[in-house]
Amino acid sequence: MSAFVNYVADDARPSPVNLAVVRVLLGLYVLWRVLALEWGAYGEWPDFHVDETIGFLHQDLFFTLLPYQQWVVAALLVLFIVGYRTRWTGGLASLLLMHMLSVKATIYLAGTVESLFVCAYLILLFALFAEDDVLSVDAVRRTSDRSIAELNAVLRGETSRTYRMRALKWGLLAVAIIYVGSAWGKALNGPLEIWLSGTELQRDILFYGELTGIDRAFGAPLVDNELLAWVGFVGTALVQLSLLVAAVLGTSVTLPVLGLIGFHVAVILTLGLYFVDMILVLSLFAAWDVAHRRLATADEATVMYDDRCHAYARALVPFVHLDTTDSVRFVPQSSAPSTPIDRDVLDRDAALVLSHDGEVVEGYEASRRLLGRFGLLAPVAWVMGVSPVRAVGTRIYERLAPDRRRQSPDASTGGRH
Amino acid sequence: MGALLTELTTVLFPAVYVLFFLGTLGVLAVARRRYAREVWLAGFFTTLLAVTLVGMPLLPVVDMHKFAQPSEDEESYYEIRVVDSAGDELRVDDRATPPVTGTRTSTIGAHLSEEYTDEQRLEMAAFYLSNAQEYRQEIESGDRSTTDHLQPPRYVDDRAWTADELEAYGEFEALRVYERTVVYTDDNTAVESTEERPRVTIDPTDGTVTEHEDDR
Repeated sequence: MSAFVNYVADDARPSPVNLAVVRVLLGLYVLWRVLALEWGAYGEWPDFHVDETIGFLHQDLFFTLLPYQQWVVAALLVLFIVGYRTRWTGGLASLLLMHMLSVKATIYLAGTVESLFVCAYLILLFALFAEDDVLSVDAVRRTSDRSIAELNAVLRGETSRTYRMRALKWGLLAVAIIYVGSAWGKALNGPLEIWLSGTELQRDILFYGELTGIDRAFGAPLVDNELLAWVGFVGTALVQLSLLVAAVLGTSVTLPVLGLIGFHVAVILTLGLYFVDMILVLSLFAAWDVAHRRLATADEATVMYDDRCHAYARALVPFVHLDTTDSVRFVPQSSAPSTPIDRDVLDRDAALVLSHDGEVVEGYEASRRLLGRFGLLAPVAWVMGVSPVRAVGTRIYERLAPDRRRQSPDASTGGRH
Repeated sequence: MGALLTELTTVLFPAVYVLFFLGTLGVLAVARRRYAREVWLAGFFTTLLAVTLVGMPLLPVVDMHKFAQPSEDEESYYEIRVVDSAGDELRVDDRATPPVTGTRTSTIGAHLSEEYTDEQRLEMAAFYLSNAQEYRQEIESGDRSTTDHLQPPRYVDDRAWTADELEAYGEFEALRVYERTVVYTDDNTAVESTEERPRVTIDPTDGTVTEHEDDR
């Protein structure tokens, strides 16, 4: 399996993990950037220092609002990260951010800002295709409309398991087009000869060394060796084109993406810390689900759950989506006697019982162990095991969990708790 | 042609901008209707392709034509320095005046040397000096170091002022702009020479602007 995914060729994956991982990574990164930028400072620039072509954005009101909008975007991003009402939290966060960046661009449209625009496009695509995302608060909310029978069918693995990721498909296409622009820009402005020698790159390295006042040791070999500089210059254009070509032709994008990441690392070493954000943007297209699969526990476990409780079934649905290795067998309590199952499991009264490797746990601990089975969530399970968290968690669990001993007989007809 | 283009952009840019936001809000509202998202995608990708081909951002759609200008045998850029009471000079640290960095600072240097009126020069110099002073205090008091650790990486890792370095300087009083010319060796393996000449000194404290045109 490839390390990076060509979503343009095929936007369906056997697991929904990638979409959720990208949503969280993208959201956290943009949140960090938005909180760190000094929005209050941009309005202090003298008025005549403005990019005239976008002068209509240079309004006192816009600059005054920036420091407040920063917090609105931050709040919306937090909701976006957990996947709450993604269509509007993501959509508005993205649009507000684009507006703020555009206002900032009247002072200076720096590379960081362009990368943030790309991040904003991706967030907007998540908003437009919000229903693809099944590991989110929204997805859990959506299950409230589904009958207990439908939920039990999902838990028994009777529903299809392909997940579309249209946000990543169109996102990859946008990123690929933007990279083609980087190569195209040189063809557009430069004479043909610049492609025939390493001069361009040699001079750029020397010039930016002067401009930033920092001598970059890794730049020296390229400056000294024209052939190497030529390979670097032409190679840059080739990798910038390769992503779109691979994406559209439907071949693997792993080499183009690795090539681009390599190009960014080379730029950082030889020219300076330009476009470091793009490394994160590129990494979003990694096959996180493969890592998730590899890290997941492969040995089987059995979970017996109270299938009469709607809330319970809803809470377990995300685990079915996370269980890419099909290593967990969800057994409804009502059908347990007819299923070959551990005697120990049957004896338990709790609403959730996890049996794994001869060991049987129940309640809060069972839910913690269940989370811990899924590679990328192991840290969450670890935190849940730390004593204060465990104490609080157990209390909450006992509050929420239906107790079989206290259940009324009519619960078996499928009533909700 | 140029005038026509300017005319066109003054209408086109705001129109596209407003249309993008309103259109996107509309599509978000009816996203699950047939063709709604397809229409949005078609509009967005057409704009993105056009912007990428032309190399001029049509906000909020941007391009990334980078390092796209071919270089010459020699290249010039402008360096802005603060001058203290003793006449000692220190290159500005762009961290004092967000969001600009090296190339943009050079453009401002060019404007200060050639384009701005004296009034504008004085206003810009006052802005730079007050920001430099404020930033300097943050460094000297040590406030800056704690917040800087939580910052994402800067766009350019240019050299920052340090408290030790600043100790040698008195109160910042004026701004001086240098034009620096980098000349490459014939084989482009080194910088043959860097020549610098002062272009303008702006002192907002006493309101004087001195052009150094004659020093050439």
